[in-house]
Amino acid sequence: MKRNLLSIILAAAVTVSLCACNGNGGSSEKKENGDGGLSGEITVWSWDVALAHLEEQAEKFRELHPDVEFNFEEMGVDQVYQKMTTCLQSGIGLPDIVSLEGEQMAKFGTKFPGKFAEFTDMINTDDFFPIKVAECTVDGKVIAYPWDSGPCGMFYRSDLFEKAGVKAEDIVTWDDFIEAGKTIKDKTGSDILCMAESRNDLVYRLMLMELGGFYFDEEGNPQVNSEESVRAMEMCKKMFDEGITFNNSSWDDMIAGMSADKFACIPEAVWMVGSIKDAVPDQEGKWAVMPLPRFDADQEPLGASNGGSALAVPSASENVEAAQEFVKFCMEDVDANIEGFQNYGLYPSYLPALESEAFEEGDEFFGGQKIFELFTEAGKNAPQVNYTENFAEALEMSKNSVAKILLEDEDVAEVLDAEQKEMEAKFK
Amino acid sequence: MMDKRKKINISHVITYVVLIVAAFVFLFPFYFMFVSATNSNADILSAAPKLFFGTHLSENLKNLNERLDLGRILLNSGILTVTYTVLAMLIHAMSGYAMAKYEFKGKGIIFGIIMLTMMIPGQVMYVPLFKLMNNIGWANTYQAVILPGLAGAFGMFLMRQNMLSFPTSLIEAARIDGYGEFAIFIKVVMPSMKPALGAMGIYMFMSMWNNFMWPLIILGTKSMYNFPVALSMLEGVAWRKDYGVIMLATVFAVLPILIIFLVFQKQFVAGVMGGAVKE
Repeated sequence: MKRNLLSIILAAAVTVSLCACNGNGGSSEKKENGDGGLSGEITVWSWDVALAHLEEQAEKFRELHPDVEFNFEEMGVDQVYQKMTTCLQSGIGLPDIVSLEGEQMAKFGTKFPGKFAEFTDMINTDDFFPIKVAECTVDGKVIAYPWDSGPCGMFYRSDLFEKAGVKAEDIVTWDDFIEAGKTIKDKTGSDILCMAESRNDLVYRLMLMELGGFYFDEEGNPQVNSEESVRAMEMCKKMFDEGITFNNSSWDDMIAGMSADKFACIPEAVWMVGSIKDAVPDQEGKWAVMPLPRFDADQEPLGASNGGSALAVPSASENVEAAQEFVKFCMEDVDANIEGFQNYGLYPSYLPALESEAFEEGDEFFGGQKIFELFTEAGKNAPQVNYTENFAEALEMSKNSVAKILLEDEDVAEVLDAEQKEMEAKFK
Repeated sequence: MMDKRKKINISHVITYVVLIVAAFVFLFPFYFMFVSATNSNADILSAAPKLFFGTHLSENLKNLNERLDLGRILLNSGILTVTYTVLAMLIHAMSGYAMAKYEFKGKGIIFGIIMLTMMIPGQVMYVPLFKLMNNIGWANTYQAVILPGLAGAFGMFLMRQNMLSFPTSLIEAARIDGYGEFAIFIKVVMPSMKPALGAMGIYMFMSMWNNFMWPLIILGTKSMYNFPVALSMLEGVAWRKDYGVIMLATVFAVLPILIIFLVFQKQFVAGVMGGAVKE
């Protein structure tokens, strides 16, 4: 225990001194190399492609700081959380760097205050998507670096649209979308939208963000019976009642539906690009992307976001300084961001990278369409929602509400009022 | 004989139909696992998944080998499971024997306390156990996985119930013949406990082979992972799962259990029934 406490104090001291000497954000990593440089052993917990990307960047980092050693431990997303929770509670066994989903960052940051090293003075928040910075900020402190992002658009099957004589440019509002859906159902037999009836609440949540709302307000209080929320949910119900939606009860269901032409559109984040290519390689050239439809034609378009991760450094690390430098090195390097995107489909949150040429190219799979401009725009416009520590639980409740409204035909306002009460009682 | 054959009655037919359907329901997932291990991800996820053996086995194996050190993981799982099973069987048999055949002060209370430990969910012990193991420097070791579950109320109780029916007079006879207590236990009691030991052995083997949560928490490096933890690593992120590879890894994880169960099937069934009837 005592040793434990000591190491935390030491780590905190290191953090403070680090913050003190790193006052002006843009300092380059080469500077430290000159005077003694960084050293230490850094253990990284991450998953899949994220880990692979960090491994490659570590090679480059070691060219500048040869005294830093890396250990990479690969795990699944849930496993990272299970291990992190145990380790944070006991204060031992923590890695030096860990990747977390952006939406979960607030939960860890709030439940374990002070257990993550601060980046507040290292990061220039204007360089990142505002929504990603919001994810990484807890109590006004930036406790993680925003990594990949999930700005959303509407993926659609251009061939099905064409067959039905529907033009994507004509779809501006959700009402237009529903009309198009009816036509597509008539002409091709496919549903227009992939929308889960009980597995998730994605369509509703994205609509909510588009309207500038969320489960929680800025202070973190629930507001699921707000005007925006009711409006979004009613639109979901309207589409469902028209019989133009495809229910996906699992991720694999959706993939299977995709290859069987069951639906024409998926509203999803940019990382879906890779999934579609992997899942249905034979549909090359049949896909395209448009912005999510809006509620009012004259509304300022607001983007929506789903997913994406962040990179954090537990303050119990013995090498906080080196770990933080490595995180900054990976996250604020244009080339690193481009490589992560091109090799692993990690869409950056870092604006200088997004402005580079790599994101101006058309994509053959999408008929040569320059799809990334659209996503970057959506990312910039996504509202800075407050995920709070209760996001995971709120998501479950919200799914239930969607199921009640769609499947049991209950009244929208009543269900959302009940959900609001439940949240208020639970999240006190 | 001929007569008997003709007298197949309708209830038999129904029984067999039901059994065949049930067998299909239980066996199909296994079949699909084997088949999928030889197919590509796209084949498995297509709207009508491939139900016959494909040609992707070597490719899946190559991909799997790139992501996991199969030999090492098999070794880890093997060491953990065999050591645990042998030690756990011995400890449970000894404690069960003591509870069944010895009289000593406070026996009832001790027995009660041991049984009460069954009410503590394993999850609440993770954090204190994790601290303990780290403080004695056992994080990321085999013994940290093996020791905490070595003595459990369930195994002790199962053995006790089986030992209760063992005739005490036989033990006394051995004592009179000059056998020591340990020799009695090993040479007289244990041989007749084979069915119960077999059942418990399989149970212990499976529980350790499938052990996930605790190894995940306490094992820190890839080279120490057992099968379930390594499998969970393969899962990766939802939108990039390669089911062919996952299924192939699952085949490797399931095979030992399948073999053990087939070999010891008789003991397993006999042992579970053993404690049920008291003569």
